[in-house]
Amino acid sequence: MIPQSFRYHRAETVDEALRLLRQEPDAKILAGGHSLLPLMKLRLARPRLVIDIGRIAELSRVEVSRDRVVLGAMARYYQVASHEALAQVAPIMREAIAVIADPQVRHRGTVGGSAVHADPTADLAAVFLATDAEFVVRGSQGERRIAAQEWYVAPMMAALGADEMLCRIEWPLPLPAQQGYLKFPHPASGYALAGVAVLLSRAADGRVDAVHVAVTGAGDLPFRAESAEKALAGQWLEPRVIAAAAEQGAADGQYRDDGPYSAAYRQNLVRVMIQRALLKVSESST
Amino acid sequence: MSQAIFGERVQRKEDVRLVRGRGQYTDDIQLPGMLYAGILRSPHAHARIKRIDTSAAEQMDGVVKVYTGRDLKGRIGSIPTAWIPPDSDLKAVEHPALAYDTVRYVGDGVALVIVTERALVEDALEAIRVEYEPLPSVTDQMAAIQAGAPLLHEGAPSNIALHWKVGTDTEAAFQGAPVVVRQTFRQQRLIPNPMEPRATVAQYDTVTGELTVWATTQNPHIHRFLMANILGIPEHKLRVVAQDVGGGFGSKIACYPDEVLVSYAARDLGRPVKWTESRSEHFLVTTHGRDHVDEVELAGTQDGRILAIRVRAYANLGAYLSTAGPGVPTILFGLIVNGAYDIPQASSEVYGIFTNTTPVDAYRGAGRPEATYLIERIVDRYAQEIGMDPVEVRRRNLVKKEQFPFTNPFGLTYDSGNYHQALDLALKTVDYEALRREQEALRQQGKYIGIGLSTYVEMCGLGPSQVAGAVGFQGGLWESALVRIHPTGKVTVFTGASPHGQGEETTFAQIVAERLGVSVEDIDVVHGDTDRISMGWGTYGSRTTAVGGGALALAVDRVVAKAKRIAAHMLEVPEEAVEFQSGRFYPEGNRDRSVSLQEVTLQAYLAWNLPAGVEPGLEASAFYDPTNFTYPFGTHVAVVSVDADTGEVRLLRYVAVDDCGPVINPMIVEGQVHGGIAQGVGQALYEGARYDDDGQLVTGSFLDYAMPRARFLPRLETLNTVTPSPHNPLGVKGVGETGTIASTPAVVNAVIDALTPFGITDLPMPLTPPTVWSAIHAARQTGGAS
Repeated sequence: MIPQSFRYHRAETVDEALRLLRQEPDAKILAGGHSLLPLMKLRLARPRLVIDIGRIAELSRVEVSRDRVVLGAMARYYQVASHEALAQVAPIMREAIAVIADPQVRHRGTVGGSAVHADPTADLAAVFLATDAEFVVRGSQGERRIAAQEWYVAPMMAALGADEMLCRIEWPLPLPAQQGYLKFPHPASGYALAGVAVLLSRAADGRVDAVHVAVTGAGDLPFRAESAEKALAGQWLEPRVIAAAAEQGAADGQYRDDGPYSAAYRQNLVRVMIQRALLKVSESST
Repeated sequence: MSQAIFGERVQRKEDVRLVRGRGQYTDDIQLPGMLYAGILRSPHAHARIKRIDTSAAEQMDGVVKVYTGRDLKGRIGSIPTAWIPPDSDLKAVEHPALAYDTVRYVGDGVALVIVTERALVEDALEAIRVEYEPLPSVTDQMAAIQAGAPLLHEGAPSNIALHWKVGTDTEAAFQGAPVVVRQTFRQQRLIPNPMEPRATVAQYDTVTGELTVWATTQNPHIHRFLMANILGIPEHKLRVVAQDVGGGFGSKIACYPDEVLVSYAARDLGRPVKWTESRSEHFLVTTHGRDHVDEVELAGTQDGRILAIRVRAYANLGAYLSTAGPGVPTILFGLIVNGAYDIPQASSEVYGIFTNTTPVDAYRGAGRPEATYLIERIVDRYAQEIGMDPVEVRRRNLVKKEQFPFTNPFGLTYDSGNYHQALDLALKTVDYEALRREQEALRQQGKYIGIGLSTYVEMCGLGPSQVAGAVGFQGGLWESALVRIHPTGKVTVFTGASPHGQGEETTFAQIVAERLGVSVEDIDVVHGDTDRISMGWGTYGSRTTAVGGGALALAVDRVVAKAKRIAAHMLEVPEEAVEFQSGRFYPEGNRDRSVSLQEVTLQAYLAWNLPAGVEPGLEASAFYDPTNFTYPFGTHVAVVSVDADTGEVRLLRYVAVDDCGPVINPMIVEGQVHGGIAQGVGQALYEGARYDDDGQLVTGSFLDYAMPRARFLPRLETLNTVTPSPHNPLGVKGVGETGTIASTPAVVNAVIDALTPFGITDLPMPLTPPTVWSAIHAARQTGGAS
């Protein structure tokens, strides 16, 4: 199908993009186009103005310093996944990106686009939550930082003002060293029916020092399975402990029946996937 | 040229253009002054049209014309069905090209817009205002026949479109049977998704009065035949062309309102018009498949002898009767529900039912997957009931080699077969006994694998025209071929079949190359154009090679016979004393002298010195009408694992032993079997159309409708046995549908086998993770396997 007609403007700077955004209330930012354009073709989105930010260089950077990771909002999946320094400090990014859609999408789609689209089944949502990512947005009042826990406010809605745009995603280093993302894809869409991101570090005696568990796909919103984290804190990762933590962590989500996938099925799937992700990560090398 | 062309893995001639993006699909056609069509579709499952306001659309720049159903009423005939099963009391209800009064499913057309640019189509459609009065709707066939259900058509009480019964009296067999197994199977609605959605381009010549229609069709001559009547255009003024067609799987058999509307507008406006279906539109309006509820009963003995089978089927036909719609759940289903088994008594009773859903028609296998599913599933249920291995039950009941030709209880004559050989080969290939041991060992560890069989037979190669007439198909089912050797010895073959992905440009060239001793590169196969091929019946029902190839073999033989007369004259020997081998004619027993086919051909065209009574030129045609269907068969074995915690089913192995007679091109046969298996696995595990309570299709895109992906499948192990069909010139049987027909029950049998420790005996398809998990969860609650 063909979208409703719209104006197209290629912004050269973030400020120019923001100015256009303020001027035209029915404007949309175009990054990789893999969420926005399908919606426009189906006429579910009908922006009057499309602001292309693809040529703004500062938005495409990927930087890894001693204490921080910075991902420009325009950084494409493949660019992030093939970044060697990033893979050293946050291997979970590469692992999660590998299971996003297909190679074509991964070469066009952007990490910022995924964040702003705020699809509650997006793989990266679990990763952003588990890594305690910060979303740096810019608007007429300048920049502000939004924690991942505050970012996903409703399905398909991020905590972003109408006149703001996402510029970069950051997180502090070091992250807990053992990391993993495990996904159960929806057989039709390939989106996560349940995706679990786990970051883990252990004390010298093998007990859990820090653990972050985040879930995407199954619930109304992506969430941190805090009950699982609490249940694991200071524990040895025995199967019984993991099973109990998974059970409690799954109960942190809000689920509803959706077609053939009942709320009960979803919660069970999250339980199983948390359990398997914890086992997998606990057996991985640091 | 060697004669070993038949049976070789010759690379597909058509791929040279197709894989380089140089195919010419209908949507690729650009004509000067071309207009674009769009069809406004009902958002309601059932409603009265109170008012349509087209004025805003008509005033838009670029909008040439807007037609409503009222505008076209009386100008375009009703879209007919072409299959009227005998003694079925079929209600041939009106199907207007555009609804003028009542819409009966979401997607039913209500207006047609013609615009100057493709980009304007959706804007123009959005500008049309339609006022509807919604009516109660019904999408489920079992609900549709209940008292008080909303009625779709005045002429069809209780929404029953047809009621058809066939078979022997099974009552006595059931009365005295030691074992009776009963099971209701729901075979869910599927949505065919060829790579290429449908499209039509129509061009009217205002001088000659000729209308040319390029369309995505599997059968251009049937389209011409039907559209000539619907549009009131003399058949000789109507040309239908199917250029490259990107798959159909049955969904491009039907004559749809869409191509009729586009053709009408092109003639009315005197300008070419193109319409291209979007994928979203495709989900909504291109015919769906299956959608049965089958009540099945099997009577048998304690020692594994099947005595009788009785089937009552409720087939959802959708809102209107599609072209082949009524034939699929009757003739192509009901006559073969005994499957590959020698069952003394069998009967089928079918209700075809109208509902507020997309019309249902053929989908790869068309009727035979439904029949095969129920017999293969009920045989497994029976084996379980009497505590016998499903292999052993099959062994005891399969038709034996010496019984062929075998007449089944419905009067079909299975042409040839060796079912036990295929079964044995499949079992040996998977190592059945070892698998059973492994299964037992894994169960001890709380892991579940299952082994499922399908020992299928199907009827295809449609078919003898006399039978077509007897079963109410409103057409013949013979096929035509014309073989023309050009003066330089190059060959053009014209076939009335209409391949659209199956590879007959290659396999037909192989048939000719083998018989003429001409290289495959020197043979072009022309199809899909009613102006280039006088008549034909198209490609569906795995008929192209068995029937079209049969016609081709006969035509080639006629060409050779004529060439032989000329060669005899040139060699100055009697005709009976001429031998033809690898493209050369020799005097009998003498290899010193010869003339080539090319030399003979040149003389045939020069005609300087032809034998008395021989006309110039070298071409021949044949109209071949088979004396029977062909009955390919085989054994498929699926091995699956079930993750009891998530309900996920994984295919671990898949072995397919198929017998389609002599194989012309093993690579192409493998491709057909691979694709067929994938589609059958799709039905077993993934696919399923769903409507909500308001009749909205909720699986209207690939986000919700799960097509089988490569990652869902293991490496497929395909093998063949070769049992020629005795009644066609090549001995070949169809293979385009066998994979789909066989694989669905093999996979479901495997999953149910895996779930035996939980006491689960049946589950509704598709066997999605939640379906499987819920059943396991429920079994565990009541103390099943832990």
